[in-house]
Amino acid sequence: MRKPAPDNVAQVILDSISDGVFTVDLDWRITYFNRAAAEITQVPQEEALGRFCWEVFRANICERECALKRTLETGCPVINKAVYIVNAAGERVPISISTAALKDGSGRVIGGVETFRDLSQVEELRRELYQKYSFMDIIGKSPPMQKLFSLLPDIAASDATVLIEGPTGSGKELVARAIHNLSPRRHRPFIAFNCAALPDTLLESELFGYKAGAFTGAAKDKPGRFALAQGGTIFLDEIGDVSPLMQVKLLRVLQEKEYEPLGAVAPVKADVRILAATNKDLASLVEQGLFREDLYYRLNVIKVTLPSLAARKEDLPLLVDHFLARLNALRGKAVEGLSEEAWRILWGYHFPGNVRELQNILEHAYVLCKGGLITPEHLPSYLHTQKRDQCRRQPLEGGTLAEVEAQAIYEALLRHKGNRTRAARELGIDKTTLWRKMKRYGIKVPSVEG
Amino acid sequence: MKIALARWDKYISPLLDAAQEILLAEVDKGQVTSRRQVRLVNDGTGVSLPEQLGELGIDVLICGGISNALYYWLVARGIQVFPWVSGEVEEVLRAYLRGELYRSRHTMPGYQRWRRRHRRRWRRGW
Repeated sequence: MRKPAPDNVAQVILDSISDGVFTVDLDWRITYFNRAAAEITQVPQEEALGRFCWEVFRANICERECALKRTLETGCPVINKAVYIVNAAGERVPISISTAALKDGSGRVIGGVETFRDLSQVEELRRELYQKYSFMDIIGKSPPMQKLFSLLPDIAASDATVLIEGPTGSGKELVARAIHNLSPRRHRPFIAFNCAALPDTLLESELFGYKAGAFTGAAKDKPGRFALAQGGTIFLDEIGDVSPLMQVKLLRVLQEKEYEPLGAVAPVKADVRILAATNKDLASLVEQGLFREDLYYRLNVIKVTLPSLAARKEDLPLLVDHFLARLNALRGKAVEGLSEEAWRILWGYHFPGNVRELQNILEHAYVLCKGGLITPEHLPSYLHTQKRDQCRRQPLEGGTLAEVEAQAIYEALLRHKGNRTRAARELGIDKTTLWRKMKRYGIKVPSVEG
Repeated sequence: MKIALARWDKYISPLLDAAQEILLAEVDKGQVTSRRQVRLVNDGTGVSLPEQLGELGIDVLICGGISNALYYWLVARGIQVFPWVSGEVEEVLRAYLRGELYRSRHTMPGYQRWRRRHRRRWRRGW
């Protein structure tokens, strides 16, 4: 009977799998390096053999917490530890590694084996999923935000005036920028202007500009914001705070598409798309006679209403991840997220300042946090004094007992990113009870990951 | 001239992105005039690694593996970077002073591939 050479068979098998495999002897010299290992590290097999494993592998853990070293010292294998390596093209590659000791026939350790799997594809998928929930820097998976994302391209493509309503800090300017960047005018200027920032007379010269000699000190022509935005988009923030006189002038720009700089003899044509925003309810200002009805209707061709953060709390995990990732990239720290207790505090808070406030809270915590998880001590002190229960009960009001219970379960699941064990612990019920109730109320595990 | 070598015990550190220590050598006319150790805080708790390296005011950096982001950051700040070097720190320093850094056996596996790739990048005007 003929037996194939065992070495050869093992090699064929190892070369046919997609996980990288290498072995080292007790001097950390590489004794075997399979095809996938060469592909992932981009180091040719023949170059790798006989070299120190860290010269070939270049992982972030090589120096201080080598998994293989620990396995050989303790005899315990390491399974699926996430690390990154830098391949021979200089790219960081996220991988997950597993290690085990190699023993000879008598049980003596003769080296170690490490297998590793390329996670870039998984990362890529995760990023893609995340992209679905973000749109030109606006983040959200809640129904109102998803609806907004689907509408924005069409709104942008039209040249219509848009009125953006939403509470302070909810991202009105982001929406305006997104509309501009998606519109045919995107290569022309985008001018943002806060109408509440200046008194009337200054506002007029700032918006429309003036001619030399229009008033004492006007030595030469000054173009206004409308002139600067020519061909592009102008974003008028806090339009609800504009005086009746300015309202008339703005109405003229909207109606006639022309305006007169101070001291000019002839009107100037304005080829500018107007986006206006307000945190007030313009319709009720119209009723009270504080805002011109005709201007309101001119502005309100398309209305975009942004929800408050309290109304879309399911977006909280995404927003937190987004801001922390950005802060990590900017400041080079490694803050991973929020501790359970910190989450609970944020979840109970009603965010009167909306996303901007959340951003500030996270920046505050980020400064104090040295790495790892953000805990309640890192959060601003005013959050601790909040009467948490009051805020939390608010959305639960009304409805039958079953409805309230279903909602509490759903929110607990969201808070724990779909982790049923932790959600059950918070609710003070058993995991199987939670499972049963989820089934009864038809609650699916919310997909927060992304 | 100030030369920095990313070190890990007696070896060149395998990956600059995760390095913990720098050997800082002052060199004058091919002779080392002074040397000192610099600890890097590289666990994500303090100032970022590029900033720490930037503060050293070095002219030359010799290291092992390096991610492209870090490499281009350093090069853009006028630091001459010699990456993909391996071996014992003292030997590497001697080889550098003799001008034989890459002519000797002090290169990491995969160096040729890295160089091919980055030469192309430079030509494209990175």
